[in-house]
Amino acid sequence: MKPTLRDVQNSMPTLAIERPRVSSGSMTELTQTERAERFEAEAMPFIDQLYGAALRMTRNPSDAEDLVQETYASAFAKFHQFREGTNLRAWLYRILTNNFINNYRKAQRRPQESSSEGIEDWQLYAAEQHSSTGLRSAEMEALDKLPDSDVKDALQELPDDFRMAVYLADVEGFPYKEIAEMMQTPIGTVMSRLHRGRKMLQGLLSDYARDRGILPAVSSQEVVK
Amino acid sequence: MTEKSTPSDHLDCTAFLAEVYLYLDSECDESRRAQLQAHLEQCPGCLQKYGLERTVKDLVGRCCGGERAPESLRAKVQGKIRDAVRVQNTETFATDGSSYVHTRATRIQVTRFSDEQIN
Repeated sequence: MKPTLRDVQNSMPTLAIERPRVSSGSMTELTQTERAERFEAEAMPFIDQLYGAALRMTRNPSDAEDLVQETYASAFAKFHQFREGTNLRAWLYRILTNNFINNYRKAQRRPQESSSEGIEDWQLYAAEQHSSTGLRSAEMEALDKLPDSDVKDALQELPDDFRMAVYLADVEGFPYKEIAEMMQTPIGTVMSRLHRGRKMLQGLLSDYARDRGILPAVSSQEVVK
Repeated sequence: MTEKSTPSDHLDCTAFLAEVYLYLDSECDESRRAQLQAHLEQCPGCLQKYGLERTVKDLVGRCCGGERAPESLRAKVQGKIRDAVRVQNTETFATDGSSYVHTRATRIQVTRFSDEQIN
């Protein structure tokens, strides 16, 4: 038996109810749809980089995955605040760094880092260098022979703030100003963290090179820690 | 070798080393950069120290990047963006021979994917 018009209408109560909802809310909701599409197209290409940064920051793959998911979640929620034409990559890194600082760093019970850092110790660089002969060119070549895993391990050993500054500058190539915004510190503090982080890293790398016998075990005092 | 006083447009080692990171990280303006470079070219001591900084920076850049996100993570994030806005279109056409009903409905469901359990 063919359905009558009444039958058809009776069978669609939900459609009749839903229609006004769609028409009243569709403008904002469609904008939301477009926003999701745009967000996916523009932000997803950075997932490898963001995961790499998260891995270096959290130092373990499972926390890194969580951090990346949280970063995308808050970036998506705030995407309407993102200003078109500004640097999306830097914006995403800012969110990632903030999430890390607020949600992960507190959780790790690491000894409090020295709070005496400031522009002064950065300016001590020249004095320090004069009292150190530095690494000779043969030793620089030795560092170049270290396996990637040693360099990663050495970076992992740095305190959070130093590691983040070195990573953002040397791997991601961000300018000081952007690193300062990401880490919510003055530029002087970024410079100080870079300085200390790099000095520590140089010390660690030459230790690794000595352990591997690439460097003779003599000149350990040459590297300022 | 250039530690003694130099002509006014030339830097001494102390001045160079105080700014070696600005030079290394390309954080100085062009005229300063040219001055620092001029010093570097005539001072083997500073060149060596700069060389070490350069080596370590490059080493970190080369060894500590280039990670790839696991496929499962990519799929999860992508899925959550897509689930956040779910659009469902329904179209119904029915007739009893003399008249017909044509209905079109769009159902859009917006959820914040941050609210969902991360799994």
